[in-house]
Amino acid sequence: MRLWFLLLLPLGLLLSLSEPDRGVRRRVSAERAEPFVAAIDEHLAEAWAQAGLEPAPAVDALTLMRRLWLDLLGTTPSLSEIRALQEVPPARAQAWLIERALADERFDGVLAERLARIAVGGQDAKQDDLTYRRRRLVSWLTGQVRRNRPWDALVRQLVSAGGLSTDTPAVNFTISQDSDPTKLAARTTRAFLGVRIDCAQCHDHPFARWKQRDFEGLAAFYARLRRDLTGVREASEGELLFQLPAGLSAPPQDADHAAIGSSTRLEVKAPFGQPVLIPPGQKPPAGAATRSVAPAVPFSPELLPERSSRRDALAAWLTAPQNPYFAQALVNRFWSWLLGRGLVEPVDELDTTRPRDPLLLALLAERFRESGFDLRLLVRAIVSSEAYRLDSAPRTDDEAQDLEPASEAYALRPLKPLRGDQLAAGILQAGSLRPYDQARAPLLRFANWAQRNDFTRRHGDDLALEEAQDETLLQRLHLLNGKTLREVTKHDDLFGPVTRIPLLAPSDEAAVEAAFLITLTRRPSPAESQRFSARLAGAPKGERDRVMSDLLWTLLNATEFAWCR
Amino acid sequence: MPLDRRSLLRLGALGAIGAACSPLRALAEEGPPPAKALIVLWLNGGPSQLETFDPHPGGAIGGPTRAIATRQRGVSFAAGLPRLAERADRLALVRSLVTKEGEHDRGRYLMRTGYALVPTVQHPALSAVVSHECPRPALEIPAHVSFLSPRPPLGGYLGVSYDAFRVGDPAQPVPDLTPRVSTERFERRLADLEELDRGFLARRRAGRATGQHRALRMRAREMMASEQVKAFRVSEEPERVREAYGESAFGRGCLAARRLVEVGVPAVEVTLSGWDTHADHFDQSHPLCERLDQGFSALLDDLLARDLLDSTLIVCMGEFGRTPRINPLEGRDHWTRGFSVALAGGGLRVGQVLGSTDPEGRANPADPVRAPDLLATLYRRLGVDHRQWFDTPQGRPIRLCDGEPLERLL
Repeated sequence: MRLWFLLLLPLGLLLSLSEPDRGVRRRVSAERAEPFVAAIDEHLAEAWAQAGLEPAPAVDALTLMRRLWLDLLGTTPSLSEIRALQEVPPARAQAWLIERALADERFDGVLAERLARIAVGGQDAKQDDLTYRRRRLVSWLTGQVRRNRPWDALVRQLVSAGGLSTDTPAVNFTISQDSDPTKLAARTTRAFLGVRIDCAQCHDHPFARWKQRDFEGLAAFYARLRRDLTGVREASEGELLFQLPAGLSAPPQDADHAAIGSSTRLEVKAPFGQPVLIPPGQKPPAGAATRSVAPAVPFSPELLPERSSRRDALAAWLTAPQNPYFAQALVNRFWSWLLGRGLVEPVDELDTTRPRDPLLLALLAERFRESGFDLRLLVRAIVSSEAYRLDSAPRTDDEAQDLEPASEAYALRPLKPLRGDQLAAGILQAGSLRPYDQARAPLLRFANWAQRNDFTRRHGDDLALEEAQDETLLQRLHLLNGKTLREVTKHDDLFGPVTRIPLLAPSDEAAVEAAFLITLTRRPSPAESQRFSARLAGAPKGERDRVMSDLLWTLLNATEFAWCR
Repeated sequence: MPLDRRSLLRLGALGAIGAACSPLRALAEEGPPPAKALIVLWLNGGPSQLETFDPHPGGAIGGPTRAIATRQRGVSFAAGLPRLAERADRLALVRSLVTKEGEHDRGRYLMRTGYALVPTVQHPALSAVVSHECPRPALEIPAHVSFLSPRPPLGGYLGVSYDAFRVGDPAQPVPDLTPRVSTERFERRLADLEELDRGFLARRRAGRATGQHRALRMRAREMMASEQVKAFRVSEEPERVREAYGESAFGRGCLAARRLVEVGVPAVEVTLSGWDTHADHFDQSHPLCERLDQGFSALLDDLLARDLLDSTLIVCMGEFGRTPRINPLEGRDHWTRGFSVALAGGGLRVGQVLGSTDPEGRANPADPVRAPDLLATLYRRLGVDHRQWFDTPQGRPIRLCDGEPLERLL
């Protein structure tokens, strides 16, 4: 039964990779971002002065390049890109790097994947058609961010879109939550407002102000969502209905909860005593007592417009400029992504956690709102800020004793671990001296894509997570002895770096330097250079390849490689 | 200063621990010594209670499945489990599991962790907790191993180092355990790595996070060189033994589980997939039952013969059961109101059945059992304080398990 589907899969794969929606890239100029950047810089300079903190010095151009490439292009820079940077006068290097990264097609894909992780998370990749739908969504988002569609427009489309998942990829947001009103209410508030109102699904939120009825009221906005063979649509009628347990005619009293984590307690009192959601569009069993929930928003009801479609109304309320959480939720996530530490963490606890720097959060949100929710402008402003350029290494022993005060105030950059997809891309990039960008032959880019998937299948890359997790033993074994690293460090591959680098490098020192550049994006220290070039010089003619292969393997397994400095 | 919510929760936690500890100790002293290892046989997809441990032949819900007598008086199994029926006196059955999680991910989460799946916190799986609570300093291989699982159990708030080490069919060697180059070159590579890392970490006063790669490299090297890795190699067993476990990946997993427990691994999971039989249920279940019957029975015999059954707790379960009603496609759908879990070994009171289901498939089961209570029972037998509190990464205290042990099994 599934066979015909498998036959179509390669075709779909190619289609989804080929980015049908190209459009014209809308650029955001450096000048437009200038006031935004200045506002961030001024605020932080003042905050540091007040706290008596001296910010860490700015990093050199190569380190900045590694950051920008890993953050915005999802991979480490290639040797040819590093050589191009070396042609740029140092005074212009920062601006050149930012222009180049933001103009790269790979950035569209990374930004789209970022937004997909926010909107639908990992989605369960257990079924082929689900991963296929997720790729459709990412591909659609890639086209949207390419044309710089604003965030509020994208969210309105995700929440209220109708149609087939292939024609209108935005409907994959509702489909990803199984078109279930309660799952959608939870996802909507977490993704777009950065609050966890779903704690109130089973009980009133113990610490925040959310009540169970707030959650159910939100879910009711999705009560008319229908999905059938013609796709997702909005029915003209229908209410959110709960079937009440037998013998219970009124809604149960709010449960008393002593502590978090005791949600299963309800089962003790009444194993079958919970109201059950009746799937939208279905009729309750004859004679069953039901409770109907009307749509209602948990705060700022004045922002809710009268609309014929409930999802349209919800989308308008979510994205209203006056909605306090909408802009904050996105700027906090982007700040966390690019600076390695969110203003509020976890990123979806805006309602219960005090921000590290409340004024900075307000400032970013305000500017983002004023710009008309311009995503590319926001990214440009953050990566152009002084905080983005600061070094991650403490200057003094005193500072090294406790990095927290400086890191908490963004006066010292935290080290960021690479995610599985960044590791895969970086390792494979080291296998080629040129980038896998838009100038590369499609077949090679496709092969690279397939190899990256091969790596992450074994290594794991939880798409539900917006940040990297700690490493596991299985992952370290995979790096030490796995297939991908062996392929990249093969000593008998004519086109691999092990053969190419010594061929192109004028000296042993230059070969060692190139190996460091394509892996760690830095030059070796004098001691490192000496250690490895002596090894290379001392090797008999037939052994040089093996020494080079060992060096690359070592660099790719180094702790430094797994982190963004 | 008013107390904030966290201190309040902590205070509550301390009180709870204080109240819980003394009776717990007393109980532990009365029963047999706690089990040292846990083997979870995970029946992925939701096995039918009616075709395994709780048949109701003859009526509208029974389908073509026959029942056979077992070593437990008055207890019958489905005919697909003849070997287990012969060993029913070594099993304790719970036939009345009741949950409200009829979806695969949610059901799996509840049965493994004892908690409902919520996006706010990730609870650790039972097997992860056991690997956390039963440290084995002499162990050179992972303490938490999962065979053949599409979704291996996770360490949740305990940390990813308690995630299961994922392995496929033991017929294949464990991947990535052999260096791709000669030992001499490998050692030189590692020495260079030490040198490179020294420079990087010295500048940054290696925190836990950056230090992890070096620590894991040490563990990886230890594992690669360890004799204990042989425990994964079922091919080293005599043919007679391998045949007893059956020629299936699941059977080999069961055999490898026994070998791992022998070298000191405290927590192993073996998965048998394919139980999600919405259509053609009876034909689909048949080969699965056969594999389960063979693997589980051989494991019981083998552990008994090696005097390991009393110290090894076995639990055989899936995410839920299947509907008594047979659907038009000859299938059974998801069912959460009365399904079976089989337990063995570990000093449990075996040879008994808890709960019973309605032969007509309509009424709720008698003596319903909740998932958290089942897990609390297992924790108790493993000497793990199920009422203890942990701090999640967000700093919230959370109770390990929110159930109470089923005294009849202890």
